[in-house]
Amino acid sequence: MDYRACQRKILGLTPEETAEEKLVIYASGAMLIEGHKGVVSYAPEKVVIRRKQGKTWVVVGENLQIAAINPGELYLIGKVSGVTAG
Amino acid sequence: MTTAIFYAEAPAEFVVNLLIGGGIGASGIACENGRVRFSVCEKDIARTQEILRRANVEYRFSRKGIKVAGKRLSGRWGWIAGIAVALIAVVLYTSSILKIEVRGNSIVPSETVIAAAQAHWKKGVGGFYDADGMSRAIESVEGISFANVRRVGTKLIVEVLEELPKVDIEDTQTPVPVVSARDGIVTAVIAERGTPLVKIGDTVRAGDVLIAPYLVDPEGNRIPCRAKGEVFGRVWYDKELLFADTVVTQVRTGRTAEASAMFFPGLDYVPAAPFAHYETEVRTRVLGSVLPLYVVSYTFYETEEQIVPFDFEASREEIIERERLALIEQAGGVDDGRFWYLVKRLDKSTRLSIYYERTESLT
Repeated sequence: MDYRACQRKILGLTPEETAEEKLVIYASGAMLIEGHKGVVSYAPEKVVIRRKQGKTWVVVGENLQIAAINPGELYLIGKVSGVTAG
Repeated sequence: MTTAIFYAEAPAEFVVNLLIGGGIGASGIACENGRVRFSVCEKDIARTQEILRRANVEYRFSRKGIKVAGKRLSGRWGWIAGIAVALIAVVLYTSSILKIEVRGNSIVPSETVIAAAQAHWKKGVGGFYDADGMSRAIESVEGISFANVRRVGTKLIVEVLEELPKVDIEDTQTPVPVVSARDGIVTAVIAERGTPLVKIGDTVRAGDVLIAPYLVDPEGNRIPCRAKGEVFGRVWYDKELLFADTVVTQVRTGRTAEASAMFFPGLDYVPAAPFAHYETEVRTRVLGSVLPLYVVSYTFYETEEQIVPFDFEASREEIIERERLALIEQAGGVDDGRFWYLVKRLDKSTRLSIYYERTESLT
């Protein structure tokens, strides 16, 4: 099973969504999100990231901080404990 | 690379969305007391300011980087002086050699090692050293087999290895016995390797085996080896002399003959004597101080054989002392033994037997 198929299965995403978005959680607890559309809310325990068509990524964890962001990518550091695709 | 740190009085998500909406990348985004802090690179500073102004967000920012730090530092002379002093100290420290230390030598003196390498290093501030040259020069010193030079701070460390003394490899395998070199009675046996075949009190002859070239294991097997050890014993040196009551001696008859010869130094010439038996007396005279001319005068005294009586008792002590010294000389010149003699009067002669006994190595 490849990366995108795994992402579709775990997060319940459609093939179109996985073609444009990429979500990587590193062993250190950091996280990379490609294809985001902005930030809905930002707190150390919870970061809500906007996706296309009004959907969101809800990232929960500890000491979360946006280390870097640009129009295509968002790099989140801290201790990510869960991600919910909304 | 110069960056700018912005502090904006607005929610973090609002500011972040403004930035990415304007195509600006930010990093280090953090919320501090209701305001957001983030960093942007130098090329985006003006654009970021414009975006925040349009959104009516209050902000302030500060630049950060080498150029900025340099500009800030340019007016602080104390800092500049301190950094300059530190740099000078580092340069002096790295270019100074203040001490040389020799390690690993126990026989060759350190002064000898340092003297051998003195042309390849210089002490003091701005000192230098040539590690290869020093190593070669030190290795040429008698007794040094290897040298390594390294620098630790301001100290030059010379590590040397000294030559090992030559070792004589002893043959312990070839089965050769220890044999007696002379006759004697054994007084001590010191066997370092092998099996002694004699014990104290045994009489041995020259050529007898004293220590056999084997060892005996507990099962009685003989293991060959090279015998080693020393056996001491009492050894006798003796001499027997016979002195007749009469001796034949030459006596002058009164007839003489003279002869002279003149020659240069190195010319070997002796005039013939006119008698069958004679004694010769030679006199030399130098003729001139310029030329090395010599005149040699020979006087020949005719002699004839005559039998005269010999009195042994008159020269007894002299004869015995002379023969005693001869025996000691024969025993190696060591006068630490026992000496005695026997004089026996025979019909027409006297027999002198002298003995010298000492304890010495039989091997």
